[in-house]
Amino acid sequence: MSGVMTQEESRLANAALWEKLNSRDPILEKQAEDTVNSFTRTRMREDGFMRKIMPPTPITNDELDRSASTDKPMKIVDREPDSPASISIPFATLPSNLYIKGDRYVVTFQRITTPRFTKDVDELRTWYMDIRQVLSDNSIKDMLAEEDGKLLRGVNTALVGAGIPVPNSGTVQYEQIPGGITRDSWADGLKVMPNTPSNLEVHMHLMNNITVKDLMKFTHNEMGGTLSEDIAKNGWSLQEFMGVKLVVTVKKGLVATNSVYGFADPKFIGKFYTLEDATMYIRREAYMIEFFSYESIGATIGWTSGLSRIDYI
Amino acid sequence: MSATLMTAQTLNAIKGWPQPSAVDFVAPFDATVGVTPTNVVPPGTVVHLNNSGNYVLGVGNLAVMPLFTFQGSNDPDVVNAYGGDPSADVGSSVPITPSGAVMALVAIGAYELVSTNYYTGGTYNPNTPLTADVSGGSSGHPAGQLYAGTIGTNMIVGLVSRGVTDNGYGHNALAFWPCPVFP
Repeated sequence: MSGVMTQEESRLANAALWEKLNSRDPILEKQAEDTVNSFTRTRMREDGFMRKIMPPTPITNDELDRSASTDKPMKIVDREPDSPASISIPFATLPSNLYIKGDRYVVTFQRITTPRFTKDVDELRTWYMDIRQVLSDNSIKDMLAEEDGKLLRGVNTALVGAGIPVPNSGTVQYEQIPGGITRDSWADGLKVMPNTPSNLEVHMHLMNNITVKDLMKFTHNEMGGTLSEDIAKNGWSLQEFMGVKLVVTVKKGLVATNSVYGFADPKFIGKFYTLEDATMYIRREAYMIEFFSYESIGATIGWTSGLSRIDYI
Repeated sequence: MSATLMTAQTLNAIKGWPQPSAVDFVAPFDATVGVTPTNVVPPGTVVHLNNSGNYVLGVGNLAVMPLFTFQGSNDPDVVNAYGGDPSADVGSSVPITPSGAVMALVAIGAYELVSTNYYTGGTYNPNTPLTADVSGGSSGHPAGQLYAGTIGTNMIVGLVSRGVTDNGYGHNALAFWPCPVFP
């Protein structure tokens, strides 16, 4: 993301953008769109946690799969089969047969869009704030909330419920651990995902900005001298803890306090495709401009053993 | 998903839509509708909003605003029906997209619609008032399917325009102007 701009820099950037928006030249109008799009996409990469957990992959028309019953886009993804275990047998017999088949999963797509905003261009003349930021902030907040909410609804569905085994793995992947966050309970939480037959390790933790503060309660003995001292002086700044990347969100409505989600390496979770990444549409009619953002995305959790959730109660 | 031809069940607007300012609406089906991969609500079905803001089928004799669904409940941009049930099935996958929302055209909009979801045994002269039963309605018609109704008794969702016509792909469909007439 670009650094914080001074008021003078914002005014200069605004003037350049306004000139493009105010022109009757389609090329300059397109440049104005591109300016905002570039800004928006950078912000989306940085602010959304779904994009950190399942980095999106652009998909082209050639890579899409077709169906006889619909012209809507979809992508069929092969899933690595779980082969049955080998067994020991005596002499004079042959192994049992297994006709080879393989599971696949499907990613279907939909569009996420913001409301269509309108504004009189002459009212933009007086703005000192970075217009790109105003336009993109309006777009980003709601689009990312929609993306992130979809991810967690999917994860919660996949994990079935607290204390209930997930049929895919036969193990509980959503546990409630009493006693709050301590070094012991944190380490116990790290055992949940690798306890499945897939043996996946937690690659990334997701929690909210309240829960992460409980990590600061680790004692000097638990944390170690230098780190404990640094946290006491400067607060929590670690991007990684116990070998696991941390993603901290302010979206407490999505990630409850004291809940910590675990995610395996993205390649063990599923696929997140972008048919069209976040795009700002800007149109000017006389002195009114209208704009909205949209994206076409598709995502599926293909393998649920790469997920875990711990509620520290 | 069923193997229905993609042109066999449609809602089409032959006048007045699409346009950016059209009065369309987006909501999911209510859980009581019981949409599943095999219990499909086809395009062109009459629905109304319940108190939760979700679609329920038909209008019956209720004073409600009718809407006409554009997508089928099994369309891939509405539901990813391929994954199985993660609470019961081994090997299931869990879709993150789409979200189950269906676009519907509101009966108060200015357009002429053509729906394949109508009772084929009826007579549809121009200006015939149309209605659609709610689930468990007494007429014997499937919930949400268009048929000739009675003004003053049924919630009227529209008036027949050019009658039974081709949906553009060789399948019969009923053309009408949406026009809510409350009982």
